[in-house]
Amino acid sequence: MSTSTRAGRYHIEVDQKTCIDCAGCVSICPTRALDMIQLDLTCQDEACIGCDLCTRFCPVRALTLEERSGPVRA
Amino acid sequence: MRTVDVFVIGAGPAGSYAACALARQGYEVLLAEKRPQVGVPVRCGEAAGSFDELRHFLPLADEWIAGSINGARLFGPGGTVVARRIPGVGTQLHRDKFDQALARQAVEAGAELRTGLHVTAIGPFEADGRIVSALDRTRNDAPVTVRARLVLGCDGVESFAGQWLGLRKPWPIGDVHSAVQYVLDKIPAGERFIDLYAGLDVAPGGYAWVFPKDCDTANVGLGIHVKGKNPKSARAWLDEFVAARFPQSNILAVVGGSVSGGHSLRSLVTDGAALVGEAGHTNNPFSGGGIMNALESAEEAGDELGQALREGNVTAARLGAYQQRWHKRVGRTNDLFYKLRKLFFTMNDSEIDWAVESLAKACDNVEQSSVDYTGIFKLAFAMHPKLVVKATRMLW
Repeated sequence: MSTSTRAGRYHIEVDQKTCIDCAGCVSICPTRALDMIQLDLTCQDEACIGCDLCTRFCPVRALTLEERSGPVRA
Repeated sequence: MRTVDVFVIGAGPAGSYAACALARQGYEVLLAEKRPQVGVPVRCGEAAGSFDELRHFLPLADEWIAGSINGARLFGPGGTVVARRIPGVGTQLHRDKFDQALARQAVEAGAELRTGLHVTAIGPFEADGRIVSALDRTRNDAPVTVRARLVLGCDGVESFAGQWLGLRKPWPIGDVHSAVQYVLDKIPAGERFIDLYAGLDVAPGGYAWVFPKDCDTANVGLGIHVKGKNPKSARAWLDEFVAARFPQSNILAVVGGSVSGGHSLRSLVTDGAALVGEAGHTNNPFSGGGIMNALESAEEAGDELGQALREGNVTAARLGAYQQRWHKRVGRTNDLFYKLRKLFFTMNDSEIDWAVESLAKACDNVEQSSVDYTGIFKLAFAMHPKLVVKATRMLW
């Protein structure tokens, strides 16, 4: 599946209370969808491919992968 | 548009020391840190080299020294312990204060430090340098562009600069550990040894550590290799480790991050730009330690890249000399450690125990000034033939 067909369908939700700002997820995100702006983690949904690597890697389990149910896959 | 000689991305140890070295040579250096404050939050076990090794880079100061490290103990999963007493072998730091002192040193040398300056792109190489685009987080994200003759990517383990420059990719999951650390109280420092614990029941694919700080506090953490669909989190592993060993302690702070251990990059340099510190994979891939390596790479970069600027030649071909110096100083040793890491992370508990026992024997023999490697190898083959085959394949 190409990146373009999956792009925009996923979002990484951050539980700010649990997140310890370590940016571990940023270092392993294969598409650079995640970035730490100042001390807040942000997810560029159009870049996220839903690989789930960050949620498994997060040492404190602060991330969840959300999949949009709306638009049908191209 | 503003023009500088050198644009340094990231005011960690590598960035601040490289900025300092180049500013001392008279170059106009802009040191950009995306965070509001240098050194915060701490994402580090905070163990570094000896006082003498540190003094080479920065005058010693009480504010960033938590204490000395006088040796190490390694605990195998089956209860084997190997201890080595080497007084003053290392230093336990207050990393936030340490990073701030290094940044201050760069400023005193003439570099301009800008916090809250978040670099978002590095332009292509042109005759008069590269254009760096950034957002000024202290001024409502106002866009900033600066032309620099030389750009140094010192943005650490998650280096975006390295990726924009085409020198590196995001980490493969096998080369990074998911790590978390507590600062705990009520842990007497004793002789100020650092303790390392290996074993699949402690930290699968990694190890746990206890580094004494000051006033009965210690950094207690671990890194694990993330495998499978729904693995137990590093924090869950650490909670178990702490409950079993330090039930009386309180958690004063939580620190986390990825501990990287990659092999050397094919190239640390491109036209008009170079990677310094962990952005260029300088960490020791086996221990995950990187402070001294970052400073050493910054020293080589400051020296060699300063010369290149003087010659007016910042092409990849010229800057490659920095990479060669780094490789000779540390890089080639790191490549051996990378192979050791690969081997270690495939070992089961009985193999780890055997390795710890052999190390204990080797250490005993060192005091008799002869290490019997052949004996160790023979014993290994008798006990763990598969391990020896694996090791032979990986190391040679």
